[in-house]
Amino acid sequence: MRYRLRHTTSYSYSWAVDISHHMLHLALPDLPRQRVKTCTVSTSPSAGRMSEQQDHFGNRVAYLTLGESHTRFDVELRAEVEVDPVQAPDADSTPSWESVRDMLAGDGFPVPVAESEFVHDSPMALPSDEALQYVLTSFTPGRPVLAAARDLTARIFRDFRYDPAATEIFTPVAVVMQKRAGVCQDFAHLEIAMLRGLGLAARYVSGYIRTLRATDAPGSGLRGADASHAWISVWCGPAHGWIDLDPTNNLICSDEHVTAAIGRDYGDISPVRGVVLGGGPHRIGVAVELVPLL
Amino acid sequence: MNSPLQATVSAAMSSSAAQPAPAPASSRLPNGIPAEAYDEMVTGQGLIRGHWQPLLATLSELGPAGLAERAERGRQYLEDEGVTYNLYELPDGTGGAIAPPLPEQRPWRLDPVPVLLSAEEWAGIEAGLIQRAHLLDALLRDLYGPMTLLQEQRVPPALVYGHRDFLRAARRTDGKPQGRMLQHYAAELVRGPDGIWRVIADRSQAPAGAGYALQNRRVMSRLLGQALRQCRVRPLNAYFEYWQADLGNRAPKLQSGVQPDNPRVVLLTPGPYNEAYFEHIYLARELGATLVEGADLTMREGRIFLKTLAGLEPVDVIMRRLDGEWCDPLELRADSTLGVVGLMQAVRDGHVSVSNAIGSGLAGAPALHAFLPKLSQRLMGQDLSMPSIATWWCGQSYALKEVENNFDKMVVRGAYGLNDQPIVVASLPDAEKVSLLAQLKAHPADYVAQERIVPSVSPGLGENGLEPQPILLRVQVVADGDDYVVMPGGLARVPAHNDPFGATLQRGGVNKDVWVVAKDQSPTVIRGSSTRQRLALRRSSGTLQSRVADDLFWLGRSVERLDDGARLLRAVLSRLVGEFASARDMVEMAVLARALARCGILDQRAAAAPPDSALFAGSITRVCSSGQLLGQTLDGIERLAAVSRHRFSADMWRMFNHLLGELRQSRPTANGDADAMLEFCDQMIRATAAIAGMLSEHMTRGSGWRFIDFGRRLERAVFITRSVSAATTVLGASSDSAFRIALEVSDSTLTYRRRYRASLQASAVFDLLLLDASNPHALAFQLHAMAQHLDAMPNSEAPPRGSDCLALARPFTDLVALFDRDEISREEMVQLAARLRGSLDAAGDALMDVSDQLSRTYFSHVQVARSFGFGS
Repeated sequence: MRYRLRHTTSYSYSWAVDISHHMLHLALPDLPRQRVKTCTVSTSPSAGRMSEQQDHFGNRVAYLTLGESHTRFDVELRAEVEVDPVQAPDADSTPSWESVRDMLAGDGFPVPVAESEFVHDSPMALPSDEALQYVLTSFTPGRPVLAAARDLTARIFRDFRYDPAATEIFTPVAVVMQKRAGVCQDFAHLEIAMLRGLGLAARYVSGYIRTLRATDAPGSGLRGADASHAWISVWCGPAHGWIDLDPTNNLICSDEHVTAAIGRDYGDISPVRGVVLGGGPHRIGVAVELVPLL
Repeated sequence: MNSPLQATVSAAMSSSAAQPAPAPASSRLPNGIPAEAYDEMVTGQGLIRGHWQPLLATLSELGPAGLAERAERGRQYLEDEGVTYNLYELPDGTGGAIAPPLPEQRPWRLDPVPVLLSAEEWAGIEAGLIQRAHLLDALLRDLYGPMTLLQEQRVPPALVYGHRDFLRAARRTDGKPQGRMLQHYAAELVRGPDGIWRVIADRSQAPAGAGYALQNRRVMSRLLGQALRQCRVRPLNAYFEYWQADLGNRAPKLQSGVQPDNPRVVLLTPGPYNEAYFEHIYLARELGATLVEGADLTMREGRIFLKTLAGLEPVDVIMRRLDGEWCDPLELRADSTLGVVGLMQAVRDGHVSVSNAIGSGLAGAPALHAFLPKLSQRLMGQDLSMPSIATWWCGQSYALKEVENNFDKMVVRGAYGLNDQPIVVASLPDAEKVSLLAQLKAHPADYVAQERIVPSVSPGLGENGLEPQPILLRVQVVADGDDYVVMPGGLARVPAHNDPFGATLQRGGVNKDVWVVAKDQSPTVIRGSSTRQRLALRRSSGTLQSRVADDLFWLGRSVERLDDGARLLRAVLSRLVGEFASARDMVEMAVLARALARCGILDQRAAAAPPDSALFAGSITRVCSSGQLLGQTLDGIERLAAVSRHRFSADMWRMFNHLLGELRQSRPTANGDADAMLEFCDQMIRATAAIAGMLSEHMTRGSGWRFIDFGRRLERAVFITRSVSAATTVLGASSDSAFRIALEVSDSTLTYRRRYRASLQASAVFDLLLLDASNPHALAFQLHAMAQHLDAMPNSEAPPRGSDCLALARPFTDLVALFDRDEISREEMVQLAARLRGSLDAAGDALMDVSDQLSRTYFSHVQVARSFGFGS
């Protein structure tokens, strides 16, 4: 599937910002199932100096400084990207979750070195006792890892309410667990914390999901399409590698998801991060369009 | 009681040395130390080791009383010098108008008996630690670059990926090699019963202790200077010369490819709340670095600049005393207000050199000890020459089994960090042992176990004279180009409760100087300084940080505010404490209360109450409690003096410390009486006079002094407008009272009497208080001084200008002339008073505008940055 993507973020400040520094995880990467045709990131006011490089995880990250006084900051990503559908394995043929766990532990020296990074807790996906209990219902002894992860994803989708008012950007997993509500970011952190609690490797993926098509019935579209989206990626052993699951929509991610960046949690790959001098209270506006090109 | 050490020491102290001692009677020394502990001073045969003998001769000459006297002198000296470390307690958010109180400061404790090490054994320590520094540096460069050691299974990935100090933003992904990451390193050493020194901990973040070691040595040279020479102890100064030279050499090359001539080196401190702030000040001086906080620096176009009064000045080298994760709120912890936004970018771009490199804390993980022998083979092609204490990382099943089988002999601690509480398994009740083991098995990768080791003992001054005490060594290493040098000597610490694992600076204990005996008489060769360029003479340092100027300005204002407040209060209290207040006293107290209210010292309700009421008396005696303006001013002076400490000489600081300490001690409690308060007023006035004298006598007339003095003049000018304005409210009705009060609170009574005898006249009084530029308590005097300061400041064209200040005095020339008549009727007097009051109040407001303009011109970039998108 080929898409045209437009993602704008606008910051309006109450009074002038003298200087601001930003770090952007916006530019799309080429991935095995994803090819970026065109991709531009632009800002207003325009940045004098924007440098791009790869971060530790291999994402594209850009830095910029706005040295002139401003009361509004707009950043826009425009891209055309092609995504292939996933060839998901038969969940029941994947290895048992314990065998994957043991491989990642490797008695101190796991062979999948890079994958083992995502076994460790990260600041925004810390497990709670309740979450660790919850996950065991899906991860019964000997169950194939993808089958168990699919089951967990389905339960989160069923048991947790999608409610933007329930949580904030920093709501910890333990609170999401109690409230049984949240948004895509919360569900992703929740599922990641649960999987890591078992000793499995789980990553946080930020990106976009296909916008409602004109022919779709109202209300039948996918959740999370009006803003940047987030889901998870779980490692299913060397034969199958990373498989992306979307707990907000109870899906194995295929060609309706476009990946922007991958990290341990939101903190590693926040799309627009900034530090400003001055400015006072600010409002943020976000708009996303991911339109399929036929 | 019959330990070999005590017997020998008492023998040495009474007559001569080297008598064989009786065999130990029990397996423990008096203070619970196992008898197998290695003795630094006495051999197994009970003989005094050769390198200790000159010291013991001195100690026996001194005798117990002499030694105790030296110890007391040392304590006094350290106290005067203000050598402290803070109990680490970063307050939760430091915003708001009222600064949080400084954390409790602990005095630095120094034992007068040093630890002596022979040249031979020192050579072994030196070689071992130089190798270890190279090894840890190579390890860091790999982990923050290609990470081949993980692929090769030399380092368990968990110790990197699971470590909080693995800062992913610091990793090089562009294939370029990392430069030196470990510039400064310290090792904690312990000597076991077998006589072998082992590393118990590696400090690779921003190791403390070098400054304290130098300070210790300076104290010791006062206490035991002769012994220091007789023992031929290697001096420490050369180490700091190397350090300074190396920092300078780390400056990034200019575009032309050459090293900058006079690189600017800054020492980045977390500020006065840090436990080792004293050392930061000390090191900055010793190493010729500018002491800065994160807010003093800014990143522009990939370069780091220092914000000074004269503008932005480029910074070449940052010596970091701030933990890595706090260094850049954009890429690291978003909630950090201590760092510099964009610092990581500047580092990546190669425009600034940070020592130690951000992320270096990773190498301090105790679990790495288990892997260093093989890493040494792999990275250095050599055996590890200085062993670590035996360490098992529980993340490997064989190690976990080993730990379980020998659990009672182990000390358990976190695998990553050093600020954890090590647990001595043998000291636990059985039930806790079981639960600890269960915890270990549930999260094995998070723990290490280490052998419990009996540290060596060295004589120290205990309650009953000299006694053997366990010791740890903290040895400092610093880069010298591509190599490292070791500080010859340094710091030994007596850990609390015989627990070698608990000895961080934060937990305290007693410190000792370490004397390394020189091999021969050859002088120490110091490189570095000779290659430096000849300096051009400068009359001004020119580059005062804006934040420091801000602090000094407020220090000046606060000291003056305390003085003014104390004078007003004293005037009230001296009338209040008399046996009977006359009608005149009552009027005058009411006027003074109005002045106190105008100055914000007394609340309106209390100021309006009758002076003989309980409300009035109660409020007056509470004005120095913590919620009140004067209480805040006292707290503020302490804080500002502490943060500006690096601007003062050691002598000035001692005096400051002493005066502030006295004020702190005698500050009246909330329900104090009027007599105590009156006494305290006198004390405040004496203290502020001493501080003012000290500032004018000892501070160079640079920008720093200008900002302090400007602050004082501005505050006093405001005070004059307010106190005289309050006095004018009774002009006409009780004119004499008005004059008396105005003169009294401005300390001008004597001058007036000398000029005019007892006759009080309006024009003479107002001339003296407002127009007389020779009276240091007159408004005109303040405005002239302020104008001079402004004209000499770096941005003298920007408002406020000197001429603006002078203009404020002008209306009073005419106004005072109006009072210069033989007869003024009561009604006329009231009218004139109202006019004068209006002008005084307007001048007071204008002065506040001057303060605001000054802030905008010089301190505007002293703003707090806010993060969003991550933490908002």
